[in-house]
Amino acid sequence: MLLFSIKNAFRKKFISILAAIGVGFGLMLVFVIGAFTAGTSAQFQDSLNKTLGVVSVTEKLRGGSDSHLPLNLPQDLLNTPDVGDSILSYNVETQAPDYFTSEYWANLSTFGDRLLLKGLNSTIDGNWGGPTTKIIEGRNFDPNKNETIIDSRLVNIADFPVTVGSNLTINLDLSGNKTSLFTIVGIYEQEDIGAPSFVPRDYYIYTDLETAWNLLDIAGETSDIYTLISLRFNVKGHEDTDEFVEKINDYSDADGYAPVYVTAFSLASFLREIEDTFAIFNTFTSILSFIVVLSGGMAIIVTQLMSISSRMKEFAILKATGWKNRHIFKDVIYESLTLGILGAIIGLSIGATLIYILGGGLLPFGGASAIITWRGIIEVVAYALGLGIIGGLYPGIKASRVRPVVVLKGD
Amino acid sequence: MINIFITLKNVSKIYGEDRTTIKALDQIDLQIEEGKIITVMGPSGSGKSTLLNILGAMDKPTSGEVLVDDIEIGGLPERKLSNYRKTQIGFIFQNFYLLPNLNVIENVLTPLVPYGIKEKDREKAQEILEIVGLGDRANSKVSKLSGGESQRVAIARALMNDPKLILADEPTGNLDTETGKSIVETLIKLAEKGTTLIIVTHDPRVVALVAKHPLGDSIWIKDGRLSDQPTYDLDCWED
Repeated sequence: MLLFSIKNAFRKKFISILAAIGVGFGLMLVFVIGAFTAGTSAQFQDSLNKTLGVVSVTEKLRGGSDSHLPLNLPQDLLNTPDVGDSILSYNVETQAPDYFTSEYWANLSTFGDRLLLKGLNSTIDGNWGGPTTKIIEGRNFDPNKNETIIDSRLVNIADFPVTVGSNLTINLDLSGNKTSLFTIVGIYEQEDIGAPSFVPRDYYIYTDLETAWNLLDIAGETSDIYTLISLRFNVKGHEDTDEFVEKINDYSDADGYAPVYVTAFSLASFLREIEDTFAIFNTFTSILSFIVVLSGGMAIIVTQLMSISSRMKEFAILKATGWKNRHIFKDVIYESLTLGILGAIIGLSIGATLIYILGGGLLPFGGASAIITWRGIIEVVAYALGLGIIGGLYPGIKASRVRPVVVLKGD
Repeated sequence: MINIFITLKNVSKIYGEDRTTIKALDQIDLQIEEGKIITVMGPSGSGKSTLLNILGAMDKPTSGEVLVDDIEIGGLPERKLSNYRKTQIGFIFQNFYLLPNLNVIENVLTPLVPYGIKEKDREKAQEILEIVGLGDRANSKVSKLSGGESQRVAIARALMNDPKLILADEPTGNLDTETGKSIVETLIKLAEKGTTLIIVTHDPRVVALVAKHPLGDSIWIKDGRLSDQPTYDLDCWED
């Protein structure tokens, strides 16, 4: 019967194919939106998971780019009751002001690009909290020796010395009266974050924390600096992170780190807020998908109604040969299911191509995150089957109720 | 021994309500023996097709009893009527009503589609096509067939369920004289195997052809009632 119905589904070839294409485009939209939502959601979830158990500490009264924490603070945090035992590892970053490297701005490729000096507490290889980097040439810096490692991307764009063993002069004030000489001991590779080429980039040169710190003292400029302590601790969920943040803040508020008041924060709570926004977005896209699919359903209903209206005599004959009402109903349902499934095939094919084009980096702005999931495919097929059944319901009932004696009268 | 296959007792069929009623059949009493070949003739609107529809369980009488093979079909529910049509009746129509998207053998097999088609059904369909003279056209598109060939496909389709009763409504109405004669002869040949055949027709030549057959008989209907039939030249088809 299935084969019989599949053949019948294309009795009005042009209209049937048009309906299937209409359904296909609707389902394609559902598929593509679903893939991009899943991709963005997975990417976001990944970010959320990465922030689990990671807490940042900065100066409370002079936060942001002015934050200037004392070097002994990590030790204080390790000694904090109910906090220190949980800390697995920590990292301290001191980012020098832009003008330290102002000499080299002109040589960077895009307006807004920055060359920044960053002091780390120790090494960067295997450093959990630091940038995803690895040294590809030379070695890592040693502490207190004015050694630096530079970004491999600078090798191609900079006209200042970039080879291992070269010297690099850093301006310590805006006038360039105070300088410091660094030796390049290594070149590291930074993971490409895939940002479009016109977005300004930060190119870091790294040294050890104390060297960076001492530079500030030499410059006599201690305000324009950003210092951040990142802590990693044992965690089971976001609640643990919130609790950890709370403990540090409570301790600071009770003068625990006097004279410096610190504030701890985690991206987890911020990301959770975004998660709520995502839920709203998902609901919106689901409604949109439903409307689109509903339009596809209308296409099937109209096509089937047109088809069965012109085939009433045929159904009457089938009844005369012994077909029961349910057989005719089943035939019409199978026909509309055929259109729905063809629509799903069209939708999935075009959708997958679109996802490949939009998500595969073929766009001038780079790739967007999209994931083709089994859930997405099953969703499209389920929509198609649902459409087939709903779209064939009324025409099927109408066709099955045909009275041969009425339809064939006068012939 | 005479075996009565069809019995109509005081059967009436009234269409419409109140003042606009039309009596299509008016208190018909009729008995048809098993294996007979009957033509039903009468002017347009006389009730011929209504009689055929009632016998084929496509319509129900307003009053009276219709017994086919001892089954009172007027009182059967729709589900059993479908079964009755499937197992007992083979319908043949003036306009053939073949499915244009299917080939010849697929059209013959349509009554069996809901129940699943097996290889032996295909073999049977092929045999029936041989009988009706279309053995070599099994895979042809029906749109490529002539009127006579199309009607033969419709006959083959009607035979697919081994019906005990074949009801043919103006089977020659859309055919030329020679083809019409050939179709009637085919129907008679098939009926000779024991199937009861009732042909509704306007054409006196069909009546004449059937009347010449030992199993042949005819009924004349006028204004919904059985009537004395007019005489025909039994050799008119030879003219």
